[in-house]
Amino acid sequence: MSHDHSAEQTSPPGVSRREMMLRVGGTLAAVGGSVWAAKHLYDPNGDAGLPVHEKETLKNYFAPLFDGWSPSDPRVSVARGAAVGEEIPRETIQKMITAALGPMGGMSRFIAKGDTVLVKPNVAFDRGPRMGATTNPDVVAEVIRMCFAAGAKRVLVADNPIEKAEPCFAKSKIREAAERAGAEVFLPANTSFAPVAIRDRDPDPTRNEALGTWEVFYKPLRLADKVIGVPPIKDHNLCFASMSIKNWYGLLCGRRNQFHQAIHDIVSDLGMMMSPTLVLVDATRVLMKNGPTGGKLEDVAVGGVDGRPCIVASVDPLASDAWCLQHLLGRDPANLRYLSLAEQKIGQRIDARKRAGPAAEGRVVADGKRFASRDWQAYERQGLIKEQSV
Amino acid sequence: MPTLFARRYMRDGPTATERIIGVVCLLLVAAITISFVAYAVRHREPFFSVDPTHEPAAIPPELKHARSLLPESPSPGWTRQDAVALTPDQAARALADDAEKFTKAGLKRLYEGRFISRLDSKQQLTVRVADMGTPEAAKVVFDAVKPATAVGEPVGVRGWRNGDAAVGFQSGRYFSLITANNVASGATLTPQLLAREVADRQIAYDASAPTAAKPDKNDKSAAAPAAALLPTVPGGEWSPAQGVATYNPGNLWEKIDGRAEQYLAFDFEQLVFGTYRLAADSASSIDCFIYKMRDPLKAYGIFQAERSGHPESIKLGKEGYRTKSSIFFIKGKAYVQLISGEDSKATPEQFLALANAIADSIPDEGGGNWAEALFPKKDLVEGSFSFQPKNAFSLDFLNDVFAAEYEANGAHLTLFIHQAPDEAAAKKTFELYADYVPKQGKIVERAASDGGETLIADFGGEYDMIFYKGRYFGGATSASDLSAAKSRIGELREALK
Repeated sequence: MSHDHSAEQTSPPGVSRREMMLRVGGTLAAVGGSVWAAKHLYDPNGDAGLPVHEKETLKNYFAPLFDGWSPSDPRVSVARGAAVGEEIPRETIQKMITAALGPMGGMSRFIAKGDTVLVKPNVAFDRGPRMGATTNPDVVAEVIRMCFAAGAKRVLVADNPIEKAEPCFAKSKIREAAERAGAEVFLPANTSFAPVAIRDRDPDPTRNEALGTWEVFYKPLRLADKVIGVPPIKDHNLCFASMSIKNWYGLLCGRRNQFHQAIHDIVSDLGMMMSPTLVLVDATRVLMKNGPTGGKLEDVAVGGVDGRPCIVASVDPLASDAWCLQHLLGRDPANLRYLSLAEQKIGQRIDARKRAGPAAEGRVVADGKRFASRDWQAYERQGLIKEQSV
Repeated sequence: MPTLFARRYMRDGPTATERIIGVVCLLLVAAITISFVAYAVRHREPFFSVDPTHEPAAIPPELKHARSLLPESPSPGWTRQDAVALTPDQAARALADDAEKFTKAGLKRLYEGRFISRLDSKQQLTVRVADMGTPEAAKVVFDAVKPATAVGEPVGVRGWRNGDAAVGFQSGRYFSLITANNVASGATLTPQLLAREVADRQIAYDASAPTAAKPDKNDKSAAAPAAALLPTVPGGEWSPAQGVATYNPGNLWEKIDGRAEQYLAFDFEQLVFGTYRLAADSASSIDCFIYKMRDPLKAYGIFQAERSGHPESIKLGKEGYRTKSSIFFIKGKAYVQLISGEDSKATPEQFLALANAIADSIPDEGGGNWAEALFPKKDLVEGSFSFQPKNAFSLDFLNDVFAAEYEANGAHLTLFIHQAPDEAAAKKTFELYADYVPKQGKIVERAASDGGETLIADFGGEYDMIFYKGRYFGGATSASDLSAAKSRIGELREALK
């Protein structure tokens, strides 16, 4: 180290003023820097301060069509095929779907060019299609083809069975039919699930509510611009009948058996949760008894009590379910509790949205643009139910 | 003392004053160190110890365990009172009448907790988790305390529910009982919901693996161990069962979601599932479901409940039938469904050979449908014969009832019969029925009859005529014509001889 003797000779003993200022200044700078850093680095919430992911909410997939749906446009449209035995030819299925959609403006009214469409069949069990426990794969395939014909860019087919998804999609032949028609089969995986706010508070069981925020097979719903439900019609041991509203049960994840004690609460919540673009009910093979699993061909009736294969297109899932219960399963909709609960819950939401006004857009309650009436007789009197044979 | 900013200042060494201060500081440190060491050597006690009178009491491990078994906050509107762990002697007081059943089975410890509604403190749920030491002992208690009116509940390895009042289930070595006191209908916490919360804290395993059907020793296709639960079909036409899986009452819904509850109502215990394929054509498959129920009567009950139409009867097991694509039969406690795949090319003979192999692997334990032969055939409404396992005719004291409907000349009635364990039990059921009548109608006649007693009740123009005879309790209900009821009951009583 060099030594400056001249400086030593001229400096007074002890600390110079310059040096003192440097020391004090350095100390103040260090303390100030520490305080500044601490203030900016301090996290008063710890882990709780980590970014919180917003809960997902579901779109109202019918909303874009709602304003253009005139009061005279049909809400339910039924097409029946001829009674030709147990096997229903693909041409008949194609004709029935085309005929059912005809009075509503055809598939092109629902699907725009470039849309991604989610087709949601019922693939709940690893049963063959003839058992009526799952959607007819020919119906699924035809719906997919019509979506592509209407300009869809991409069609997804998804369901979340309780059993392993692969055998369910394989044995029901839905995977094969969907892929052959050009759709992508979306099997459930943990990365596809997300918590979804079905209502913006905890459910109140005393008001027949089952879902607050629940994990849902969300990814295909997020990707989709349009959603088409393609449920079969089935007897159901717990909830009396499985139709279009019950079909959304396949979107739930987790331990959903806990809802069995309150089956009508959960199914009506599903009716409130999902507002699909369109419902195309598959009534080609109706499981009349021992549902929802079935197991005997004798329990399956082509077209249900009517005896003719049938496709029901609808923009009002409640009306569709009530009509199908009456005309296909031969049962009284007045006895189906989840229908009345769903109508009540959707009605409350529509009222809530009206009260909230435009500020409610994008929130859970923003699903007022939909039809929800189980009174199919009133629709019939107003000429809003079309029926035809092909 | 040196500091970060004093290095330049120290280059010529400290002043005398500073040296003195430094020495004093060093001496002070040395004195403190020596004092500590000397104290430690002399006393051999910790330097710092809490006054025992101020020390919090250590939590006993059994109490910690009790807290871990009982959910702290199962529902926002409910709070848990502190959990307790009771020895078998202490548990005897808590368990009251059931104490003997627990202690006989080998109760090790009873953990108990109470959950109270914040809205109304009278609404309470009590959870008792009995550590029985082994799953076998837990199963013994599960059966011993199960009420006669209970139905299956999908929780734990096996569970039951008695109305809205109680849920009991076994899971591993624990038997858990959840009871409700003054819980309002529509409450946010019910015995069923709390049972699931409690079950989530236990490991679900059973006493032992299910009895495996013995595979053919000559079969050299080394099947997976799970496949041993289903028999190998002699002859080599069928490959050993694949995809074999078992289900218990707690997870049956994972296989037959939406239909599990019906099986639980018939005291379902286990499902063994597997798929057989033709060795020559793997696309030809048959799904095999073996539902094991609590007893042969319940197996008959679910078999009968699922039968529809007029299927072709076949000689298989105790009773069986064939449909277009499936075979169904019962044997012992088992109800078997064989469901053919859509693309199966198996011949009826091959299908039947498979069914016979499965039937042969199931022990015949007798029991089942003892009543059908007793019912008069004349005027019997076709397909009306049924078995009702619980709450027959909405009477919570009436279980395991066979019934059939009759119609003649515009008059209708339902004839039924129940076999009690003994005459005293049959008489008790009769008395319960007699107590029930005044709530809905009136007793118009009651008299001793051959080996028992008979009563006639009038429910505003519809009549019930009820009797017990020996260990049988039966009668005619909803009869529009009393004389027709008397005539049918005469035939039924005659058949009982």
